[in-house]
Amino acid sequence: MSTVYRVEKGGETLQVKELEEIMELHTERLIRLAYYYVKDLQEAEDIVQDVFIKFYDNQQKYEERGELKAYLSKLVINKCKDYFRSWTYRKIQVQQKIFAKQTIARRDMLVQQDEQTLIETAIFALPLKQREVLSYFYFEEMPVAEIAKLLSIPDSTVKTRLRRGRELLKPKLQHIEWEVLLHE
Amino acid sequence: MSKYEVEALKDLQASKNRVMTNVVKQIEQRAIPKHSRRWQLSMFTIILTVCIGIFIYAQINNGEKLSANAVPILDEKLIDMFIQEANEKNESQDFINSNFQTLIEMDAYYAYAVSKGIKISKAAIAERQRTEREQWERSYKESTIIKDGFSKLNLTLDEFYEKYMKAFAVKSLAKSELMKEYYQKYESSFQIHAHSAVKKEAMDYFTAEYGTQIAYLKNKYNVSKTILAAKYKYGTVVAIEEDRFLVVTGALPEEIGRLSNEEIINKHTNGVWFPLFASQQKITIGQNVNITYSLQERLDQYDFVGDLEEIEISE
Repeated sequence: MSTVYRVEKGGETLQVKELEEIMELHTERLIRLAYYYVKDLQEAEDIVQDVFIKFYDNQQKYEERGELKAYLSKLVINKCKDYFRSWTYRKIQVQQKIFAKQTIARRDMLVQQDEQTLIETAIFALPLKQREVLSYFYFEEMPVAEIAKLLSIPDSTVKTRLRRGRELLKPKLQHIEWEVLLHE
Repeated sequence: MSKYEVEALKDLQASKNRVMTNVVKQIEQRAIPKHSRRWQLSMFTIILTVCIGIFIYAQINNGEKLSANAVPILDEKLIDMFIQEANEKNESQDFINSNFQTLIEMDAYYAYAVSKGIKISKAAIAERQRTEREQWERSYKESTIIKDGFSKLNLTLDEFYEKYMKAFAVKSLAKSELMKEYYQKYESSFQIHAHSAVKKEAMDYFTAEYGTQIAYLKNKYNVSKTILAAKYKYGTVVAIEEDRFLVVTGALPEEIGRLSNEEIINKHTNGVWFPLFASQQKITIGQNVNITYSLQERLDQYDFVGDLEEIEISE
């Protein structure tokens, strides 16, 4: 069954089928991106979901000036930052404290943490500014110029944040031979 | 350098499918035309205006008190104080709406508990008031914001407590009693479900009894329902237990009953428990449902508890 819906707003319209093709191409990458910010897979999925719905609703605002990839990435980043500022986020933080006793803590605390997990934990514990550039640089292997463009900041700021991020990681990972830190 | 992969992001196929399904379902659902309610809204506005007029008239003419009980409800001075403080701190409208809603809910718990004949002992009230008083004293000592707030209101801590918070302690105790009653019916209910079920019952009662006054206050403070960011879940009902049902995206009919809930959740790497009371339609196992919700609490890696705003059952 392939029902076709069109957005009833003027200008170019996008069909659901086309949106599905776009989602097929970009969803996984956008979930990864959102995860670097919110550190929760379910929350990352919700953010990407909202972004696609927003994209579908407001597509007349999207002019084919830039790459779709960059445009969607920007929407996800903005949505993640809005989420941190939102009343929902604050309410959830409070709620997590209230409902803490109810939560069934089934996570096995004795799971042996390997080096990879330790590196991952250390990066995700960094402040947002350092975490986002380190995530893009190491997890997504994005060059400095591309990160700078995506975050609308100068190359030099990206480099500074990378350096500061590595400095913050060093004491936490001093017993681990992570090549990124060794070659600094 | 070889590409470093975050453990949780190694296989995103299931996540991707979920996002795509939910987005398409959401757009399809919105595309279904809904009946226009314009005439109903106009009628509602007229009724509301008339009711507000009657209420204001009653106030001017020293009409009946809102409640004959010792504990004041729908206390404008208290709401004024909270709204004024929020405005001074430049809090968002969502924050103000949410604060207003909480104050109204506390009144609703109290009024509903009274209507049900729930008895609260004097000793329990005294104990709750004592603990709440201690918390306020601590906050007063530690927070300059609270101190400043009191000086702006020209109130001492004692006066503030006597005038407002003493009653608040009774209301919070009434809520605890309603929660206890709910847990007697549904022993293993998740707190998020018990809380929202009790809230709904209390608010239904309160709105029926004090709808006009609430509308007047909402109008006065220009507040509306707090809209939390919506989340969507499309999936199959795979289990119903006590006061909740479990929805898993991608679950297959042949898995239901053959695999345990936990096995289905882990196999499809998702699952959310929703409250049964929030659905006006009958929920049965195997139905496909499209749910809008706003809050969720993690139980396990893939297992969540959520509230429920709207539900659509697919044919």
